[in-house]
Amino acid sequence: MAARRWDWVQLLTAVFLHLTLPCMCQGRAEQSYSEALFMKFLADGRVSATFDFSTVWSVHPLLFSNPGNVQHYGIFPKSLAEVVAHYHVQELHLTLTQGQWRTRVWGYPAHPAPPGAELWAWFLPEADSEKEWPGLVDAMSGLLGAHLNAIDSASSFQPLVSFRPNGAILSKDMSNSSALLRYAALPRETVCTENFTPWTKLLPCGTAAGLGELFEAESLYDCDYHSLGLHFTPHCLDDGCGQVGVRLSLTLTVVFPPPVTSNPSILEWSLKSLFHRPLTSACPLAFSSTVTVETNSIDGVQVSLSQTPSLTGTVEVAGRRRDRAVFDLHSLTNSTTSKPLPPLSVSSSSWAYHIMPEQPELLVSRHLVGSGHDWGGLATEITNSAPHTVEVLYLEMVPWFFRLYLHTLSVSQATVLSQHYVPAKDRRRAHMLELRLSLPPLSTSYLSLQFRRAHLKWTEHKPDAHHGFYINSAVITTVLSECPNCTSLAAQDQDLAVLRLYSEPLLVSLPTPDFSMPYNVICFVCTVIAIAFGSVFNLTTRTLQPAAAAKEKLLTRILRRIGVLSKQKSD
Amino acid sequence: MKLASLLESKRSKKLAGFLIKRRKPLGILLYLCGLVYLGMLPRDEFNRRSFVDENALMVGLVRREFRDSQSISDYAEELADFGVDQEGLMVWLEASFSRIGLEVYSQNYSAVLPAVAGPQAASVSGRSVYGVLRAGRASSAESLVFSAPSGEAANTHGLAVMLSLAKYFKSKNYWAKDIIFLVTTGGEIGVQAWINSYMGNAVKGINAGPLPGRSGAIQAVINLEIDSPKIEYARIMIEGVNGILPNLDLVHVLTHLSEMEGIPSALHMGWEGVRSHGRYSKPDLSDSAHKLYTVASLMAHQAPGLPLAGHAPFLRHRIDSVTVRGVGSGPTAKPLLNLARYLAVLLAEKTCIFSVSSAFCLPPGPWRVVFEASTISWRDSTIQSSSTMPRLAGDSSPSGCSCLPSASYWLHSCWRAYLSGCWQEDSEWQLLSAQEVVTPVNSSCCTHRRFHSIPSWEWSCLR
Repeated sequence: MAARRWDWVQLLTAVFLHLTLPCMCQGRAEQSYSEALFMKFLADGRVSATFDFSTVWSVHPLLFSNPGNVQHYGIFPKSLAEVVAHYHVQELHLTLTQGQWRTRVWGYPAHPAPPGAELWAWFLPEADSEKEWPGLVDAMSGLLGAHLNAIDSASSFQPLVSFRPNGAILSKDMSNSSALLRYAALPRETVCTENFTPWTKLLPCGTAAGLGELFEAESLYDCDYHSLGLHFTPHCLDDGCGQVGVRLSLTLTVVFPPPVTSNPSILEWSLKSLFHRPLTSACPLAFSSTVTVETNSIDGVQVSLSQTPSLTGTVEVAGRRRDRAVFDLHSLTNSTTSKPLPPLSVSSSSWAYHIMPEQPELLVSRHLVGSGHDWGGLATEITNSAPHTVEVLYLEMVPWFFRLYLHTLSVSQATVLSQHYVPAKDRRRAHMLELRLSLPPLSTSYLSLQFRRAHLKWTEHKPDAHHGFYINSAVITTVLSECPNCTSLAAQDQDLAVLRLYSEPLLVSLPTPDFSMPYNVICFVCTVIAIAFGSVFNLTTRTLQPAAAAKEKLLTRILRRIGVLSKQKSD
Repeated sequence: MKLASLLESKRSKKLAGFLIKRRKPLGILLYLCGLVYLGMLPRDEFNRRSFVDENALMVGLVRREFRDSQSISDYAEELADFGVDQEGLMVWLEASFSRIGLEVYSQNYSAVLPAVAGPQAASVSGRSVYGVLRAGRASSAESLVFSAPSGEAANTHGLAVMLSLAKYFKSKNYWAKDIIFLVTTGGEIGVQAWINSYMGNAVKGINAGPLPGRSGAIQAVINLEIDSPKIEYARIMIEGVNGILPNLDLVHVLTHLSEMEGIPSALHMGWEGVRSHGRYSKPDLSDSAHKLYTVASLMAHQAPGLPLAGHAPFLRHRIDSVTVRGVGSGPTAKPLLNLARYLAVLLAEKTCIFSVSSAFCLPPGPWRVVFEASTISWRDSTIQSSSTMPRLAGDSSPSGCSCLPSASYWLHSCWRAYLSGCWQEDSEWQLLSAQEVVTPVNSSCCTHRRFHSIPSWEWSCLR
């Protein structure tokens, strides 16, 4: 009897396992997760750290968008997956950035982002993007604790060519229309731990193991540049793109101030000194977990490592050799289980502040022209220091309350190949100007555009109204054949094919009303009513009867008043 | 009897006849009344104690920790070697800025001065050098300018203070705005050339070269002029071109911080004129004669509308700016360290907060104001002609009320006093200001004393 029951238990277990395992395996086996940290010295002695946590999942994006098809999310963050599925998102890019990436000195960024928040998404072909976009914005703002819900139709854009899908393209129809695209940026958004903590929750190992161990808000926000990124894209699983999956890439770029030592020409950092945390393990869920250090980022500066790397190699980037040392966290932690990794420290010699780097080929800077509260102008400088012609896309997005005059657009040096302009509608749509420019070799092109400031209603001013309003960073998009100044880890990274440069956002003051005016008006009106209206009303409505008694002389009246004469009138 | 008949009554006619007949002496009498009142305005009974308008701007909360007096004297020593060699000085400044770690740029300009002095128009040219300290966590949308002119008047110590502050600021990472350290030559023309290029406004006669590097919208400018290694008091100069004045809060904060450092600040010429006759005395700020002098000289300097110091061209572009001029080297003089320390605090406060306050007229001394022009403001119609409409009243921000002495002051202030009942208010303020005068360093009023008790509270604006 007992043996029989045991058989039953075995049978049930077997059936249960048989039923559940394939699903679990399907969920897990087809997911792969890798984490990487890329460290390098920037030309001004600062240290950049670029984290990349990416999960690839072999579920087809169309399948993925239907919540019924996917039940086991494995290491893919469910909270995000549900948002993506519910709003029929094909591709989603969100960056939250503090500070401006100084391209002139630091070279091109690995993950370009404008200051503040930027969100752009491509929706699936069958989706109603008009309807889905506000929902997606709200969901993302809840997911990352950002103030994205300030995005409305007046700050959403559909650039024609500047923001094409980054990942695999699912249908050919979308390639020449931007109906499924929405772009929005909030230059005023400040980024802090309330965004960072929910972002770390999306990592499979969180901050418990692997590179996430290094995350300590105090050191990450005590730096010169900080950019969080979340990129969800359809992903080709093989070379011919026969199989398509999805990829979630969570990125973090941090630039630390120069780690100066008592000797001003020696810079020295270690993971502990930069992040205030030791690195003790690799994320067990990751198939690869690496720290890569570039050892010859600054020309003429020798970099030495305190530890022998697992692998060294040289990458040829645009005719320049980049030496890289790779530390494999799995192999380092396997040998010394539960012991902290030997502290990696990197020191450089013969460094000086005034070593100016070779300027990147393409630079953009934009500033405001004019003072006063009526007319103003935008002036953009695009420098091409390459010895060949470069074709770029220039995207300018200006809020509706700056009345842009397109006839004032002047372009010097560069040739305008094509132009796409969407004029603003008050309170509903902002101006968008997209230009395809051809920049001659070794040239600086100037673009200028004039606007007039509109008067806002007094309730439309934001708190701290005198501070002014922001104009989004202008976006320069181009495809670079060679990238000598890139910060990225991999030379053949797909994202690098498209280079985006963001100009500074602009702060423009608008005419502000006197916000104490209602109070003043109330005071004034009350005074007027009390003094003027009361007495006039009194005078005009009362009938005055002439007194029967004869008039006395003034002197007699005064004397009577002060009591010299008797109060009674003498008859 | 109806209203019309009331007005036509015999008595009213009599009164009107009397007024018409005596209109000239009456007019003169009223004018004299106005003048007398104007003379009395600087007295504390007739003006109000002013306050910092921006609630978020808590003056003196930043830890005062700049202590590097050695670097000030080192820089001053090196600067003294240059003498009149302006180009050598500029090259050395460029090297120094870049050693500190700033982005260094320079601008060339040339200007043709109108033929006033001689038969032929004179031509001047020069070079301005500026270093930009990029705020790590900000997007270069805003900036502060710290300027020091070089050239005609010796400003060795001003430049030394600027350089050592630049070095100190570089080591701090709480900046939320970029800081531009600007050294100009050729007096106001150099500043004018720089700001015109920055704002993209061309001015006839000045041929300003392009600016290779920029930052965002300039929020405040501090111009520093010191010619002695120790200073007796700080003279704060506020008048801009055409009599435009900066934001009142900027002046308040500056005054308060300089008091905290034990450096008295005078809003205007102080007793310089007296000193030149050999009877120098420390300006006693409670002295009503001094206040009258301050008001009079403010009027005198606003009326012609000429630029007085290096900060003036900025005001034209609606940028708050003041000049701090270190004066004197008497027995009670303080070392420059104190001045540098309060400037460090000032910039740390300005970096976090964009302050707005009412426009103002005629401050007879620090923390006093005859009008806050929250209901009335006079402004320069030539500059803001197109923009006055929505900002007429209670304007804030870089602003301008250019006040010329007129009897209308009298009418307006009476009206205002009547409306707001500020007579009572004034007597209260009077008590406070009396305390302030007795111990000017540590107790300008009770709220400020509270801030003194938490000196170690680190200012951090972005956290």
